[in-house]
Amino acid sequence: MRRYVLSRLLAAVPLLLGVSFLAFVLVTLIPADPAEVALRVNEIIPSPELIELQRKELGLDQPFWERYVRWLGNSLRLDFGHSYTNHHRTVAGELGRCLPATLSLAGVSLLFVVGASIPLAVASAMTRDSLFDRLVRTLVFFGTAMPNYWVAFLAIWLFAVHFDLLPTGGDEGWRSYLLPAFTLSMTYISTYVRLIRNTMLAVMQEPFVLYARARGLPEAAVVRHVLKNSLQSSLTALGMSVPQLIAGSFVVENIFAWPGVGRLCVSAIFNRDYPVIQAYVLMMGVLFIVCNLLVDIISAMIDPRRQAEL
Amino acid sequence: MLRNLLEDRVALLCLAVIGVTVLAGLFAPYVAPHDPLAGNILYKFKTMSWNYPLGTDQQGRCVLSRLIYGIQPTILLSLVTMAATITLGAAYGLVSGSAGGLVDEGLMRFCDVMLSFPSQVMILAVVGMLGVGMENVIIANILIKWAFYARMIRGSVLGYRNRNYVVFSRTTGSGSWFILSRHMLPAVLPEIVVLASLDTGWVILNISTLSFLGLGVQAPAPEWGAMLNEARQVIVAHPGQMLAPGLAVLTLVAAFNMLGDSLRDALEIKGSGR
Amino acid sequence: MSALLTVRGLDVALKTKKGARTLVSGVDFTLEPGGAMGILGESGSGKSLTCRAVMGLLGEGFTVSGRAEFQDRELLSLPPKAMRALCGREIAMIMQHPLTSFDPLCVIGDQMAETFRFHLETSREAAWEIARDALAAMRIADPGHILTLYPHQLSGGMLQRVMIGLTLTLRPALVIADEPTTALDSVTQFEIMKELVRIRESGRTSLIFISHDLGAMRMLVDTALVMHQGRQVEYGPAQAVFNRPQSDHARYLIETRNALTSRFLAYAGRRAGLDRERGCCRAAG
Ligand SMILES: Nc1ncnc2c1ncn2[C@@H]1O[C@H](COP(=O)(O)OP(=O)(O)OP(=O)(O)O)[C@@H](O)[C@H]1O
Ligand SMILES: [Mg+2]
Repeated sequence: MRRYVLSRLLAAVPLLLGVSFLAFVLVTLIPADPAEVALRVNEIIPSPELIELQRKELGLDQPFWERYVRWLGNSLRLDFGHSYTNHHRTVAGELGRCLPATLSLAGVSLLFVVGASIPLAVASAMTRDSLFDRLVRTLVFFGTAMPNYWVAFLAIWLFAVHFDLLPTGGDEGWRSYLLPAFTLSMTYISTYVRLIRNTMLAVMQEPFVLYARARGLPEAAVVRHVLKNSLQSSLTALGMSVPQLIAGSFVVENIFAWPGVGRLCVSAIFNRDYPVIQAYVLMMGVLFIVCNLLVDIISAMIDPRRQAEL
Repeated sequence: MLRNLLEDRVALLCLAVIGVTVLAGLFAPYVAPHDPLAGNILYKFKTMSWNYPLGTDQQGRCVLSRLIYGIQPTILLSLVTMAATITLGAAYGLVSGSAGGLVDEGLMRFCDVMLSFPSQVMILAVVGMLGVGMENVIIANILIKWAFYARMIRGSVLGYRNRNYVVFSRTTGSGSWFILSRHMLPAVLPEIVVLASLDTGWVILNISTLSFLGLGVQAPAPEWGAMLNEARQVIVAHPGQMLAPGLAVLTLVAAFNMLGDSLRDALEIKGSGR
Repeated sequence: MSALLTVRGLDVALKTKKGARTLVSGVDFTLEPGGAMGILGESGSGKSLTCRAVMGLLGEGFTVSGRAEFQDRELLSLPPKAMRALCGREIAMIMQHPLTSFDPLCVIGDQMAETFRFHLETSREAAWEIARDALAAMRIADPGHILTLYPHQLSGGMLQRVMIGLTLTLRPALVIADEPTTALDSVTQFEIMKELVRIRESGRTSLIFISHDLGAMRMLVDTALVMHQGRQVEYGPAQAVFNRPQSDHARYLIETRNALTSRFLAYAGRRAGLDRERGCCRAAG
């Protein structure tokens, strides 16, 4: 067990380094001089001397690798420097301020995803080719083809404008979670209904299901076996929906004026606030790797066939 | 297998929708009834009429004309994106697969890093650093997908390298280009076509989403996502404005997705790996 | 005494987009209580489908027509619930691939116990007790431990014996063994064959035995049915079918299979030996 976790951790290290390197390199790709940008966004007319000064302050005069190592060291201590647009605020502070809103939205969306996709998929796989199954499949198809910002509009218009039931944006109590979480989860619900349904149909073809029926087990017991096996193999994908919901929230956060990290990043893009973008990218990259690791370890732990690996 | 496809009415319908749209986009100046940018303050929010088949928007511009001009940045650019992605992925995969050894190992580790980067974050990263604009959205989309194709193509290169007919071709002294074009390419092509069709739908969604956020095509240029962004400002008074561009995106993405699914059935490819 | 299972004009068709595709047609046979019938046929000839049709185990996509009378009940028109109660209890199946026939995420004991709980309406503990006895009856060492293992931790032969133990505990009137030895190595095959011979000789249970192994077939069955491309091409007493096959296809099949005589001889020798032994015992007793 410990050895497995340790080896997985070790395998994640190069990935983490790679992601951090990419996040760092991105800044060097900026078409403009970051020092100049930093001056301009604060409405200071850049003169050569000022730019020189700013370069020193940002450490841009040092060699590439040195800068990377220093940046990496700082990042490990969660020190991402200061925001360009607002010198009094640290990037870490900004992210920390916005993260809870994103996490709670992602959490509610995850509940929606799990709560909707599993029952829908099971019901539609069980009643294969029935009217219900076809309806679910149609919805799933449109769920993946519809731009989710457009769905958000339709929902805003219907529930917030037309019926005036829910707020159009902002974070004001549980009612304001419904529309954003619905919008955010819609695509993922469609994906997972499709995935779990197809997995169940595949599992139903397995000889052990035939044998369970041949032993005369009641259908409910057979379904229990099918479900257990299907969820086991969908678990990895379901687990990876957590980081996807967190990272994918930027569109929804923008539409619903949700005070989360996604909106922070998009406004940073408009303001060319590079340290914020860089920290956001690094954070999300790390989040994905860590989640992947956790999902892997958990699925190894609960799969008896993989217990030998532990 | 082509006959299978031609018998499939759904696939034909999808192809027709895509074909007509692409043609309309290419010949937008001849097809569109009006200038997409010319507004007429006196004709704001008009409903459907012979002159303005889909009505006008908040600046009195013809919605249909804007939709038609919006085809170019949406579909044509997404097709260009996919072509570039596949070319890059194929080249990388071929080099990696035929080189083997340490080179292969290194190239594939790099692929892993690229693949572990979630698509949403990659887009924000690239657009964030390179700046707002359509070229950068395209670059971001290519960066997201190429590693996927590279890995797939490398896999089939390795798979086919040791097949008998390839070994035979090599012993009979055929050049590697001959081997590639006669044996390897036809073998991976079906899978690539299916994936590309599904991915095109995905890229269209992506481009329109980013334009909607103001990160891609900039208003007032006609693009479906950007049009929706403008419609958003008048959602309370004129909710009908968001229907046409939204349905346009939906139809096209649906057509590409359905085409991909039908192709997969026709070519009998298992699992998509998506 | 009336027949145990009478099948008349059994047809199985698969519903497809382009209409129904007939997979099995015109199967007729009669199985006496305590009798054993073998089904021979090339791969894909519809042997498994026939058996699954009789047990009502074909999915929604299939249509089954004809008659299958089992102990005075018409199986094909039995409501699904009643049919399911019959499965395992009265008609049991032994599967071809023991390794994939158990739920990989459940321990063997649970899977055996749930079967007993349903059919015998006992408590969980009692069902585990029965499962342990079932394994002990199969002369499996340390049954208590085996019950706590997952399928992937056991060998194919062991799982096949578990399956036979599970089957026999419920004392079904009919056991359908669908190529029970194909997936096993020859030593284990022999072990499993011995168990099947035991079932046969208990006299309580009838057997339908599907196999490509003519030697094994000769050892077990008294009637034989030959299938070819979904049709029944020959049916009759085993000796007659094996020694004087009437149809071309049956002759071809039996001749090619006879080429595998060596194994057959080994089995037959054993069988003769067994018979002689038993004869001695009886004479002595
Ligand atoms: N679920 C299914 N869907 C479609 N066709 C099927 C299905 N199951 C079986 N078939 C077809 O029915 C025919 C008979 O299959 P069956 O499994 O009964 O053969 P079999 O005689 O048992 O062969 P084997 O010796 O390989 O077990 C085959 O041609 C097969 O293609
Ligand atoms: Mg079979």
